[in-house]
Amino acid sequence: MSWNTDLLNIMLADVSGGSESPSMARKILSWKATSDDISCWTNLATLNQGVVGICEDIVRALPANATTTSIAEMTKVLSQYKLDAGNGEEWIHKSKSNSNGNDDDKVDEATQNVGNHLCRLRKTLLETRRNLKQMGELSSVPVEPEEQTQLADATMELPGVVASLVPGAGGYDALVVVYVNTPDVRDKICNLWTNYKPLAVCPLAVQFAPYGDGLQYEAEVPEYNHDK
Amino acid sequence: MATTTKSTTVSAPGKILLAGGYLVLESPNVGVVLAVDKKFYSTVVQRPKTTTTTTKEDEEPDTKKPKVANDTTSMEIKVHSPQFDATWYYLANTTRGTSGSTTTKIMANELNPSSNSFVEKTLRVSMAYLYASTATPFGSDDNINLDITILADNDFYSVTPHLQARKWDATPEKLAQLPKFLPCITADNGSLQKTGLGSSAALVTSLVGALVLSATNATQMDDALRRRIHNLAQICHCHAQGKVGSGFDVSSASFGSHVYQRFPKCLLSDLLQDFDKTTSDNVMSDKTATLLQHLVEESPEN
Repeated sequence: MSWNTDLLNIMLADVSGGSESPSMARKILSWKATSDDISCWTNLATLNQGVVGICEDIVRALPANATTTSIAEMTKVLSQYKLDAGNGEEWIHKSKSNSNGNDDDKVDEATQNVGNHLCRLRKTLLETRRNLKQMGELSSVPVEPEEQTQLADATMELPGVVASLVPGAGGYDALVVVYVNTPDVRDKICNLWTNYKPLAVCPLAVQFAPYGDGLQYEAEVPEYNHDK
Repeated sequence: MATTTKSTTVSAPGKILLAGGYLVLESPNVGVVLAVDKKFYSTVVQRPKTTTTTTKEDEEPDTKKPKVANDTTSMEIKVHSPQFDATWYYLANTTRGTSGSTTTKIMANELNPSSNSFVEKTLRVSMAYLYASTATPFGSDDNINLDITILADNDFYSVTPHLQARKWDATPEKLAQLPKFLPCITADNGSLQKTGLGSSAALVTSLVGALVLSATNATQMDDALRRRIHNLAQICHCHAQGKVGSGFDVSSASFGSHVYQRFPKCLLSDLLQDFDKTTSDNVMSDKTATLLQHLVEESPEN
């Protein structure tokens, strides 16, 4: 299944620190081998499978005849709201923070569906965060250190943000955010990170490459030219 | 005889593992890995020997006199990393036995100021594969040297030192204004601050890709080539790391975003043990080379 869509993008924060993932992996695996209760590991196996299913649902919920323009209209709507369904199943788009809250705020069915799936993705990724953090605490590995937890939570409060988490093996290296792909949401995230007081956080230019196929033959030799 | 230089560039993207940290180490757990727009670029230039200016070895074999048996020819490989301000020289000595078998030995030049395990081991395994699958991957007259250049997009390493040096704030506009392929600056404590995009996997995968395409004269990528380069890059990356890693970073560098499930460990451990046994003299046995060729050309995931 291909996830080639302009609906979502990612942004990465360079967080000061840097961790050694090989030794972190060794500790986690040794905890898993010697512990009686490895429920966070088994929870994660299910949750990760869930993330795969939801990503497929999101792509399926896009109209078959979606164009760059129609996706852009959808992201414009979705980007204005917090993508949180709370304990419910339905994304409540009327909870727009700065709206007048009137009933004219209607969204089309496809946008509502996509919104629902984005809320499910948020909820599932939040659950993976909780389980990863707990697994780290049980094995004395800083998978999601408290500083990262606070930054991720603050980032997830922004409208248009689906989820924010420590990618891969976690640690102090980086923080990733998945967001509804508009320049406005990216600017808001950037602004939060640049002015974040508790921690030195530098936003990076890196983005999701939705149509990248991995290895590419490059007809042009890249040029480098820098003063030392 | 080769008279003109031929240049081949292949890129491989970095990755972000959105879900599956630690669990992807064990099959059948899945991980969601996203490819990003930041890449490593490797360029392989086949340069006729007459134009080379970088011969550092005292004795070059006389290529003018063809020998019938135990013919050893020598190719110089120069690897340049402008961002690390480093150049490494290697010699690839190829011996063609009377039985038709070919062995290639990669030797790092003693004068190299530093060594790079990922570059050196990728060269070693890739050349062994290329010579095992084709008797003359770089032309029949052995009149070629290789000049390789490796470049990395900025975000693989922290850009904070570059922003600070310019007294710039970390705004999207300023980030976009940073020059491409900035030098990799080490912190005061000598460490290089990585951002976790998988630099070593993107490096190895792009380098293997450029070597394979250069040797096969391909000027476009297709699924069969991607598969073969992926398999070879996984082997090179494991060999350079000294262990069988999870493999999702090489996989996304090869195929882009996907749901990852790891390959069986047992396939590679025999081969890696063989590699390590032959490290001392750098010559790979025919048996090892045949196993290598088999693993690259058969899909390890089947």
